Amino acid sequence: MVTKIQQLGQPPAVQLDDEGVAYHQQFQEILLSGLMPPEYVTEDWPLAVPDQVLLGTVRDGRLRVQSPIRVKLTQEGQNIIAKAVEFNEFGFGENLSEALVDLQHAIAELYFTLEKEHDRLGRDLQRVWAKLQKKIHKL
Amino acid sequence: MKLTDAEGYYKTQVRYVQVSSGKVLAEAEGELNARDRLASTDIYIEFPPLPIPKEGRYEFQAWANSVFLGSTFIDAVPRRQT
Repeated sequence: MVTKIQQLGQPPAVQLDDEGVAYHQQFQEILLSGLMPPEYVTEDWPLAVPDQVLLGTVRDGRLRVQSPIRVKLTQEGQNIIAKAVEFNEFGFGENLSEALVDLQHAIAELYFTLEKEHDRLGRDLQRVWAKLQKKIHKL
Repeated sequence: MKLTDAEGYYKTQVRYVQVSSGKVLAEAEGELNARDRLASTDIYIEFPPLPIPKEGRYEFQAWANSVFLGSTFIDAVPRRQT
């Protein structure tokens, strides 16, 4: 395992020593904003949302994602919409993480619903069920 | 970070993100070669002091080969005045 850590933007110009107690004692007097690059403190960034992400889990211990699920992301007002195009499932949230978690739950729920009803599905849902089985395996 | 069910080569990434803006404030990159899918791998990453520009939620997101695996968060609240 090789790890390289990269601090984006200007790193704070502070050298820490190993005397945690000393820092703790001075904590009340330290202006923490001085430790950060100015742009971190003063700017209000616009919401940065990628066009799409690949999803590798569905947050359900019973299901393993075999190949990543492509998720398209769009912004509608203050909300983020995450759409798993292959399954026509959506997740909503105020930020990317909320939308992805909502989508993960929706996909897991869809999996178990279609599994339960698989002998009664119409053609479209049969297609979705086939795609789900290719992408996701039940443990 | 503990990873399991991995097999083969992965380019790993941990992103430190301000949730309200989606801005990536810092990231750690690494490589993982996993031989046994049933084994778990502990990854220890020591970040430098991380900025918390204002109150709100900050996430550590785990990515492998550009695939989102999961995240955990911390909530920053204003310090109480004494």
